[in-house]
Amino acid sequence: MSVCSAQAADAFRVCADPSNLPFSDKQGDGFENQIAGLFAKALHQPLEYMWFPQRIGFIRNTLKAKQPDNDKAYLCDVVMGYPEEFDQVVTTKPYYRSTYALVYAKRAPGLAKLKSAADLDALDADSRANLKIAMFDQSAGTPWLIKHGLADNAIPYPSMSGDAEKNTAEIIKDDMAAGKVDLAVLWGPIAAYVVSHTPKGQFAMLPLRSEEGIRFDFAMSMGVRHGDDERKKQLDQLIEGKSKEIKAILKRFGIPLVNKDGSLIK
Amino acid sequence: MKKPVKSWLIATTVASVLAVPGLSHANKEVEALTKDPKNFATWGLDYAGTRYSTLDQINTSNVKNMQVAWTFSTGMLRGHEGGPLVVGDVVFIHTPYPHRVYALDQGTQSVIWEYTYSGEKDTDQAQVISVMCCDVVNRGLAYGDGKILLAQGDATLVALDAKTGKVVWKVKNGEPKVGMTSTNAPLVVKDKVITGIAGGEFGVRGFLAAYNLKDGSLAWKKYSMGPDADVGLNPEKTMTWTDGKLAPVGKDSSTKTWKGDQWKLGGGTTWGWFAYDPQLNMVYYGSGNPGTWNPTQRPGDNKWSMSLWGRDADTGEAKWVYQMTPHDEWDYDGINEVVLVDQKVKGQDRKLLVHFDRNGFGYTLDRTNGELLVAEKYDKAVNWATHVDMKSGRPQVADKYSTDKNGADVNTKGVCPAALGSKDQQPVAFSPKTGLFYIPGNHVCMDYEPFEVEYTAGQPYVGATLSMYPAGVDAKTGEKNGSHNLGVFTAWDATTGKIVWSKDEPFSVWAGAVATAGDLVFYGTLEGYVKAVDAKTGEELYKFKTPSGIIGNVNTWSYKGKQYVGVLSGLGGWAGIGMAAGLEGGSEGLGAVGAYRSLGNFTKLGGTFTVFSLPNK
Repeated sequence: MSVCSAQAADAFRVCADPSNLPFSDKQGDGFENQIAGLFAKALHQPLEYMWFPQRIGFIRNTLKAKQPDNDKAYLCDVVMGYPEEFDQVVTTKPYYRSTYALVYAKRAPGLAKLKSAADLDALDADSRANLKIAMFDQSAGTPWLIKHGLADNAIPYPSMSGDAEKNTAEIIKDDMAAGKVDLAVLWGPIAAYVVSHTPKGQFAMLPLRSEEGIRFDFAMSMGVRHGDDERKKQLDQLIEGKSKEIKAILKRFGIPLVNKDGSLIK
Repeated sequence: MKKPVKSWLIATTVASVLAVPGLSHANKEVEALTKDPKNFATWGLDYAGTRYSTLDQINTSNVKNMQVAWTFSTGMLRGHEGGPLVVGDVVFIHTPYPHRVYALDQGTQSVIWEYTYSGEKDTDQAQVISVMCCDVVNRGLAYGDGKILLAQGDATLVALDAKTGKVVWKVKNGEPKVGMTSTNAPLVVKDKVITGIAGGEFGVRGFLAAYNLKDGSLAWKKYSMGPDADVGLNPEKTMTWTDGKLAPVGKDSSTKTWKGDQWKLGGGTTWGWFAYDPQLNMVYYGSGNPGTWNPTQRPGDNKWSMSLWGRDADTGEAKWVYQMTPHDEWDYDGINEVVLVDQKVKGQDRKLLVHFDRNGFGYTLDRTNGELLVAEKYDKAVNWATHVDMKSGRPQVADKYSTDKNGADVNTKGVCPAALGSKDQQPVAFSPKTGLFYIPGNHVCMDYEPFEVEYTAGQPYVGATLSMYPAGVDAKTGEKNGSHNLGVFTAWDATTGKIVWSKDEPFSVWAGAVATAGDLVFYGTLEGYVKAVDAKTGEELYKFKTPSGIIGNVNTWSYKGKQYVGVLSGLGGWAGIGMAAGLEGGSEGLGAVGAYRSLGNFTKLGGTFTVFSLPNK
């Protein structure tokens, strides 16, 4: 461990959001928690967390923040989920690939028989005008909604919630359950969370394929500090060695998984 | 404030006892204080925000002898913005969130009282820090009616007894759980205190609020966008510059420039500075960028983000409003300070409002009615718009630099200024002796690269990355010269819109300036220098390196017949966020880091208050 103190190497120390299901929470109920647990066990290290809300400055306040009394040691060493190309950290090999999905209320006008995203284009003007569509700032779903002419009456949502205790997935799940939103384009894990945490059969999801100018599928990696090469190597090995277990966890959460070409893994 | 409710009740009682005599004259008290140059009683020295001191003991001939008189450590890291307030014998200084305020006795240079922030029971400090976009800065204190006002990071506004530091009252000005924070310097106006709100990154709908100084109760609150009543617009009476004349804004002037309900997350936050004209009884300020960052998502002008405002101080009603950057695509947040001066324009005496926007244009308006008089580039690197069309008042956007027109798949390169603006929050100074404004500026351009993968609270997407780099052109002419400076310090004639002189600085000048009757202008630099230059020529006459980079405002005052110059150093803020936060790489800090990476060779973190004077004879 070139960057960290010897003491730090004794534990598997994860920087995580304490309230961001389905990814992580303080009770360990997120899929990232479970994968972290899997890795800590494999390394025979205790699992430790440094909790901080995942907002602007998350990396600077966690992975790159030094311990107050030790200029050589950091508060935590691993972030469990970042896109493969995210340059604030060094990313490991990807351990899953997901895609955005259309999540919709089956009861909403015209949506009961939705078979594919393209069916939305054929929706009659009345149904279209009455749909309550969520539109997130800075999301892959926004240009898609605009392209498909669905943005006119969209309800704007901020991508980041200011509330550390109530994150995006929770907010959209509650609003959909309450009938405030009929349709939203959500990142795979969040889409799965909404469908699985609302009464069975009320909501469905349609995973989306990337199209010209709109990218929906992303490969997700873990992140370590720049220069922490040994840890990256170690994590890469674990990702390879534990791929079956990782996939089982992701499946348990209902997360839509895709191949490199964006096709759905059944 | 461990038991907020109990303390509140006691505090309110104390306040009403103290406050009874002379309350309605609170503005007169502040006005009188600002007229005596021994004080520095508002962020801008006076209500007009001129940051001009009539002191001349330190002048062009003797400033070379200036030396450090005393220093004081704030005990805090992170960015120290704002400047010291001086009221009589006492100097008040403040720190970033979680705040401390120190009242310092100038005679003994010791602490009279110390205030230490403590949140309410339900305040999660990590949560507050996580929603403060660009470091945990604070732009300073206000004084009035025996109270020191502080707009705290958790969006509470607190009034401290200026004699004891005890909390007199505290109000919730915003909800941090929806991303609201406070970083602005409040201003005491008559019997009210004016404050704003930050949090555009979370879609916070900005507002200006006035609280009664006596007990912290809300007097009025006016939003930057939304229905006319929310915004304080009178469709027939509120004026705006359009088609070569002033005309009423008309009905629903804000909501009709937004698609659907998007104005509810409209931004237009108010995290800077406010000015007041006692004769006109109007408050002035600028509102920030639209809340949704993706411009394709919010077609329309997005009014009244990015606007200059003149409001009635008693009711908050807008007398006039002028939008500088309709449909912002570059994050040219319009919150920079406004300065109120009386000068001749085209031979006529005018009551002016002068504002140097992030977008690189220096605006001169008639502050009585909002008439647009001058709008010119105060750094000739600026290229996102060719000019401001004086008839429509709109910038003529260069398609080449429009991220929106170029589309989501195209790199938009060489946009000047960068999102930091040609000037950010650091306030200018005005000298009536020279008739010039002194602008601490950034000389930075950017590439908007839309291919960068970003990740926010569990959602990956292809977003834009800002790469920032030196403008590489002469600030006075715009001609390419291969220069590497990231900052300029510029003297400007606001009546004609002309640069008089301009001086290069290696890094952005992020410190507020002060001008004096000693024909000097003082400012600070990111490496930590306090500098004094000749107000007429820009010639550097003095510099001293303080312990950390300066993003605070240099202020000046006198005590027992001696002139002092003081500044908080303490690197951080947007400019120094890489330094303040230990960043090595990447685009964190909204793109500000790349261009500033070498700063670490010059300075490190740490808050210190440094006071200068001439040596004793």
